[in-house]
Amino acid sequence: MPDPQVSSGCYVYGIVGAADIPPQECHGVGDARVDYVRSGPLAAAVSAYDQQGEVSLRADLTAHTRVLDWLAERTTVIPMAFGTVTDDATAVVESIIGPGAEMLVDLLEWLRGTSQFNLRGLYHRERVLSEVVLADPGLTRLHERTRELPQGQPDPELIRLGEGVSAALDRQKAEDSERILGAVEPFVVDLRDRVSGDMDQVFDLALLVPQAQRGRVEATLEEIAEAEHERIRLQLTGPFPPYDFVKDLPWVS
Amino acid sequence: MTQQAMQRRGGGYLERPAPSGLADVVEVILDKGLVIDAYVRVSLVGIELLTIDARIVVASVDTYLRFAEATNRLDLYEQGGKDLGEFIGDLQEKGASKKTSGVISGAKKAITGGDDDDDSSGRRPARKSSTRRRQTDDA
Repeated sequence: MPDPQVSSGCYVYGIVGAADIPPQECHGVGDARVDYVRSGPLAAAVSAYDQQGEVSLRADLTAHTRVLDWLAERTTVIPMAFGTVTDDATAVVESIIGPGAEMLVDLLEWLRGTSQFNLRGLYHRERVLSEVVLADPGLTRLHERTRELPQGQPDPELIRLGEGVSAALDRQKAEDSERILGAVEPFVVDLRDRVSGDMDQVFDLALLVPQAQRGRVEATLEEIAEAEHERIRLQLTGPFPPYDFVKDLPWVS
Repeated sequence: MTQQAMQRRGGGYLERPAPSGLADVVEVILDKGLVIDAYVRVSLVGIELLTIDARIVVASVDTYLRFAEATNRLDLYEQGGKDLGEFIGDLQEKGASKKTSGVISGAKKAITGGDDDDDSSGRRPARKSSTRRRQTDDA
């Protein structure tokens, strides 16, 4: 068994099926060769890691992502959080693969044949703000009364305007999200919220897309992007390893 | 980031930006991936540096002022070259037909059975799973 010869630590990239380990070679954090720690049906992709060494955030992040992209192109992988390091290969089994083996096997099965895509919807701010304000006579009046006020002054009417606009935008977002996501939901396995953003952001989602549905997802989104382009910009990135679909396991803190 | 991500669809409305810089990498993997609760055996190196909590937007006076100022920076009456009356007319018409227009919302209803209409926090994932999505505001 090719356990890594590590003295000071084991950097863990992700978990794959033991039967699906890619035969090719790959190098990861600190340019160390990626190796696999096997345990039953599972294997963790790891490399030697000097815990006393210098952390180069840029290089390490790039290497972490590169290895996971590389794995995801060849097999199904459960990505570990960036920066996961154990003392040695034994600890990988004891702490990571061992305790959750059954669940990890299920998770791998669920993820098989899929990729993550990130989808973001962004409003054309001026257009949508105008819509929500002009659609509400109360907000229109507040806007007219407060538009000449000097900026940064917490006038009560200004705060009421902001509160109203914020609530109206939230309703608009819910409505637009439901309409747009309803169209792609049939073609994805799952979708998750990502980071909530600024007032312009309609949604920021991770989609788990089966290989076979990729074309339909893209075609559907292209159609929607065309239909909505005066109000909303749609951005699709990926494929990525399923970073957003491996959290929330019961045995994970 | 990956081969496929580099491809750009020509002439489309759907934007396909290719993640390139460090910021894009961080955006994709920040706070993502499997985290193990394994006491002392596992450490997360460098995570402190990445804990940029952009998730919680607190609805405060400051936030509302931001919305108000964004609104009042606009000249609302020049949108699309229409005058106010015409624009409001369009909106009212649009508002009135909202419930019934759009094949997409019809499709959504057919799929979900419209069971989450009152979910003001937005839509929820279609997967009926035992592992519930974590709320964005828990730590």
